[in-house]
Amino acid sequence: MNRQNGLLEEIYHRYRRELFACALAVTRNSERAEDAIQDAFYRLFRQRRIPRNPKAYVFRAVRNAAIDLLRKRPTAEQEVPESLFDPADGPQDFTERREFQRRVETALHTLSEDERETILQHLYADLTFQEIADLRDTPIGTVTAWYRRGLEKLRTRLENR
Amino acid sequence: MMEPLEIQLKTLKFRSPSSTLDDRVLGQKPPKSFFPHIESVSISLGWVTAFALLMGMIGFVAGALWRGPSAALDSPSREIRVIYNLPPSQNPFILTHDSDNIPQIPAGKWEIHIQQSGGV
Repeated sequence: MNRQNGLLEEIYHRYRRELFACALAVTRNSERAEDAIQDAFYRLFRQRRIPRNPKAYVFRAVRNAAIDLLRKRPTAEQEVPESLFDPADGPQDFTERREFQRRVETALHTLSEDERETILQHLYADLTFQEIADLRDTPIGTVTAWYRRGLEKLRTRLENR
Repeated sequence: MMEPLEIQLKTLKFRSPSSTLDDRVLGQKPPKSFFPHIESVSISLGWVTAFALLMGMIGFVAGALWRGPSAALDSPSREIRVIYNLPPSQNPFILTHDSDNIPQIPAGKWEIHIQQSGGV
């Protein structure tokens, strides 16, 4: 148990940002994403055995916790959607860059859940299509289709501003 | 091979978790065990029951051998007989005597017989 918890701690430190991005892609709220990570690790630390691929297992646990949390506490309609991107993105924060960030965010909200989640997990949680497919128990062809379709929609929306 | 749009999207910095997340996540780690090698061994309920039954039977047999072959099954019994002999003149059940003047506890002779049968 102690050795297993050491491994979980190592995974947490190595993929902390990616796990957060994975949870945020589902919850779209940073507080809830953190709650999901906390819930998942609470359970993982008390688990007897972790399967052979611990990284995939931890990502799946965090994603499932995020979905559970969203089911228990659905987003209220009056809740202001939080920015997915860092609000203080460096000193070279030009208006143009801010504008691009805002447009991407708006365009992302028009995508389907699957398309948006896949794009965010692939680009910001650094998960491969195979890893996303394993995470979601979905064929890899479906995952790549979601990604390509989502990206195409994003391109169209960003061009027709 | 990444498309220009993907490269452009990648330049956007995704939101980071707060600084308190580490404490929240790692603070819920269970304390380290003093006997991790024992903790990881799982024993089924069936084996525990079988072991308890076996120990009970061993205890019973050992007890029987220590006290003798039939001691464990037989419980000793004692027969106690109390006889109170009254002199014939004071016996209230002989109606030829005057029983009005007989004291509450007439003087007499007590005999107690204790007889043991079976067991040790």
